[in-house]
Amino acid sequence: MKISMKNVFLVAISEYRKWLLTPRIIMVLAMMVPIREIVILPIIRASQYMNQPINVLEPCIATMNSNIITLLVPLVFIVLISSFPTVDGNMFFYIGRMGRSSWIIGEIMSDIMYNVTYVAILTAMILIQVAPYSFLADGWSIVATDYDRVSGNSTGTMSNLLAPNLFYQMAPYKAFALSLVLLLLWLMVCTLFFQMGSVYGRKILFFIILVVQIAAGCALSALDNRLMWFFPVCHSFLKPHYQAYFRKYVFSPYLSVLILATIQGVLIILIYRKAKTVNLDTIGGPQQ
Amino acid sequence: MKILHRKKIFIYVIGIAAVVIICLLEPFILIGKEQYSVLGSIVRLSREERQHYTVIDAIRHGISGWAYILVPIIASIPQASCVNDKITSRFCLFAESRQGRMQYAFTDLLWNLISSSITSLIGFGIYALICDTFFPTNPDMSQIQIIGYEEISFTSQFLYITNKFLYMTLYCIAISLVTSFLVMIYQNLYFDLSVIFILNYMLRRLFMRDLIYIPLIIIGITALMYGPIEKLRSRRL
Repeated sequence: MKISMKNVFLVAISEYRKWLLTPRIIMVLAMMVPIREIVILPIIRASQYMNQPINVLEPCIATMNSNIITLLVPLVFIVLISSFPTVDGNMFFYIGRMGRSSWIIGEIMSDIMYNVTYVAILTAMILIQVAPYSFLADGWSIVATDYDRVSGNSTGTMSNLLAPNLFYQMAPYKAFALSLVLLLLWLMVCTLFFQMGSVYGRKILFFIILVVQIAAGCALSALDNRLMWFFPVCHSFLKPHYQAYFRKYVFSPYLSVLILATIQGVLIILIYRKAKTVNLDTIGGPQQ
Repeated sequence: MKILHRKKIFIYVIGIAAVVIICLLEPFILIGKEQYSVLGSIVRLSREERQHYTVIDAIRHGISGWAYILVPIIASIPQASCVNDKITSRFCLFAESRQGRMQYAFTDLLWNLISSSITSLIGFGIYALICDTFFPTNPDMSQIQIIGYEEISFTSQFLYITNKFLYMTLYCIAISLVTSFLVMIYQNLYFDLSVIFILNYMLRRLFMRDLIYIPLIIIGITALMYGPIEKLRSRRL
């Protein structure tokens, strides 16, 4: 059966609607609790201490470059997509009508939609919380660059959140755009990897591999070990790509984009090939 | 039902380990430019440097902050997942018909109490033992003299720890009961735990006051509501 773009969109929209209406979406709200406590509140407190506004994008950049948050964001996202592709009585009928190729491309398209929505919700929720204390311009705030020096903060709160690797090397717009692209690409890799687990009927095994990879990558990144670049999760945060003071890459972020895009390409080919021959009864698991 | 509880032993073990780790990772000592967690102070500070901080300091700092938000949720997971499994597998129908509705509700209530107490008490107990091993009962005052300073007796230390553990256990029981209650109304564990987590976060300042009557009131209200909800749920089935 030929690929029909109309069918692809129908599958994608149907899956997306189901995902958006799943009660588990409340986990995004729960996800905001650690983000608020670890990133947003310390930045707001610093801003109030210095009596200076922050750049509205700074909390988003700090969130996307925080080790703990980067550990939590994909884990919550995997739980959110764990019951997709949906396996209900309807599935056999619509795969029969639309063809397997249209169905699997529709599923991949819906994955892109989940990713964009998830990151958009997180970003919007962060922006709403910091909007009263911030300005929008392509320049770092004094709070980001000078707070640790001015306050004499012994624990180095701000440099832990917004490292000199970021504010000495580029403007906030570029940092935000690169962080966002890397995060989206990384989440897409997670989704496709999980999708591959579904079509190969090894969802739990793939889930465990993914979680172990994320945990190991985050641990190596926290220890600043060079082995971290072997783990795709470490390509998803911008901070370790740059040196603190010299304008030199530790690892080029554009190369990271290329690596993540290549992994996605390979995963898409593997999923597409397998989806054409897979026994539909083995896809997915029990719905919760 | 025993088979369902036996299946959850793994969750209990993970839960207890998580409670100990959360307490150990709470921020504790600030020396110069560095903040040490309880674990950090044990691993990276010398015995002499630790002599200025007591067991009570370590317990007070360890059981604070994130521990108030996360530990009750962790303690409620085994029983909540058990209630969820019982309802979704329809096991509860057989148990209810054998025991009677009210007795079944009472058994559930009792299981909640036992399950959350086990997780929290064992977790905090292990943490207290670790603190007791690495920190002294009284700070080292051999080189300083403070007028009016009184040493902490074993009894007052024991009373402080018992009081703290009692409050935290009651708090865990209260949250566990509310979680199970929510699971009975709507069987989606992720949803229910997320709601409880958000509520717990929003009410954290109230719970952090360590007022023992607050968890007692929650336990009382939830226990009273358990029977009617069980009745409603079984009628809906």
